Amino acid sequence: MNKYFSPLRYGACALMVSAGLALPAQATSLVYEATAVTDIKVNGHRYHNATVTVSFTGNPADVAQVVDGTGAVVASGSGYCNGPGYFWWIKKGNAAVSVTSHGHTIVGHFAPGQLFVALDTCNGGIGFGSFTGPNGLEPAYPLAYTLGTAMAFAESTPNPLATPAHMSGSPWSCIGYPPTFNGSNGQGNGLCVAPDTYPLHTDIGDVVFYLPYTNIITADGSILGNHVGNLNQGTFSIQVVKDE
Amino acid sequence: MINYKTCLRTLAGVSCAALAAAAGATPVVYTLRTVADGKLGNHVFAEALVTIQMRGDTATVQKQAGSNGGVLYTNATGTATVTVTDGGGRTTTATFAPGEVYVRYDAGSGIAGFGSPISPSYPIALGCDDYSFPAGSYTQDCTQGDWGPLGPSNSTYGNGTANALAALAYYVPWSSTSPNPYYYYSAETVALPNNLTQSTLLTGIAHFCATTYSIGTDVGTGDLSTCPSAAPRGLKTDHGGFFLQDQVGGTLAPPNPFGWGSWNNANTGALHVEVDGED
Repeated sequence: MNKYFSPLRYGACALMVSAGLALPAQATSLVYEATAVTDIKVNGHRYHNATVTVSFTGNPADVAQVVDGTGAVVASGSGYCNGPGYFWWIKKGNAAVSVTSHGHTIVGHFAPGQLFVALDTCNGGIGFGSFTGPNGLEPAYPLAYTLGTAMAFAESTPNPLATPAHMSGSPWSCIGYPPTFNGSNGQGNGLCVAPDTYPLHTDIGDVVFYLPYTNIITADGSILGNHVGNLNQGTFSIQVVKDE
Repeated sequence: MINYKTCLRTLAGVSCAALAAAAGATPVVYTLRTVADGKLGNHVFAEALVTIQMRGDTATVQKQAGSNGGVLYTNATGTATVTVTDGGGRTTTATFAPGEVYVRYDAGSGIAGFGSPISPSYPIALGCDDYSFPAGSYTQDCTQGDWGPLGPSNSTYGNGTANALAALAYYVPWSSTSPNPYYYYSAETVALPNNLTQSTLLTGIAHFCATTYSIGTDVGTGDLSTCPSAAPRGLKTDHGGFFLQDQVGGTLAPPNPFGWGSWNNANTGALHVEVDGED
């Protein structure tokens, strides 16, 4: 992996698209599911390297462009794709988290209105964002992916959030993403905001997600980059809800 | 773990030294999750969730000299299963016949996964070099990590913890004058155990190829393309032969503005080592 020596290259993503299955014509509920081994705190207890799965059941008919408090479509903070139209979300749905450690699993259901399914078609991001953090809107917290086939899927599939598929990539849990971009949601200093101040609420207690495995550039933990700065890997799936 | 007080309470004739040795025999679960292409029995799958899990004991972990002065860890004793969930949501779990797969971690190269009698890097290896290595005489996949140390190689950026731990060991003491000054990692990364007898997490870009990858165009992340040949036989399971054959590899070139394609957009995986009683 080397971000500095990758020339710009446009091309088709036929395999990824063909790997996805066509969705039935009528709206069908989908379950979006992210799984990674990471650190998480649930109701005050911190689990180290637990298998964490965040799931969200929603309807692809609810895919919408991300808007700010005034209703304006949010523009990309990236210098590579300035302007609106790159961010999409599904806000309506039911979200849950399961945490498995040493064969023991606990499941919590998020209080409504905290999580959304997130998609960034420019920068190649897909996963779960939330209405938390200093700005009240986080695109990559509690768990969202860059790089891997997830990045390719997010960028190249015509309607990613309506297309069942499995993918893998680098799972971020970062309040203040992208951390190295100045002037956007990030602080610009490479640091994510400490998450303990912004717990997400579930029926088994407050939940805090951590980002333990990073490439850093300074001793203070400043992350190398908004894509390649994360050393962890996980999977993301979009599947038709089976009971429909 | 057996502590000193426990030793004092043991029956006469059983030494604490023996108990200490026994204490090293601890149940362990190795779980590798990824997304891959292949076949299980008659069921062909593309870009399916694939989980290989082996339940064993730390007492059967074998150590031998590995790459770059490091240690090669293997554990071939245990019950191994593979679970495949395809794009349609169909999930199948099969149990491998004894001796068909083993967990393998070359700490010196930073390559981790499951090997088999077919290849030490098949069915799955994480953290392999995405270049044809050695250049001009690439006859076996995964003979060094993606980070090098021999060129052409990439940095550990984004490839995972397995490569990071190997680079860290190779370049110790790392500093701003190290060969690559960007080998800095979070404290949690540095603290990860680099063996198969302690709980740890080894992640990386995934290779699934019983032979060698075809050579494609190098856009800066590796010249390997896809896996052109299936394994000579399926790995034996109670659901028929299990094959993996990477059809994505370094072929994806999405239109992102960063120019990140090829192996930046390959499938990745995580090998979770979970030892009883350890966090």
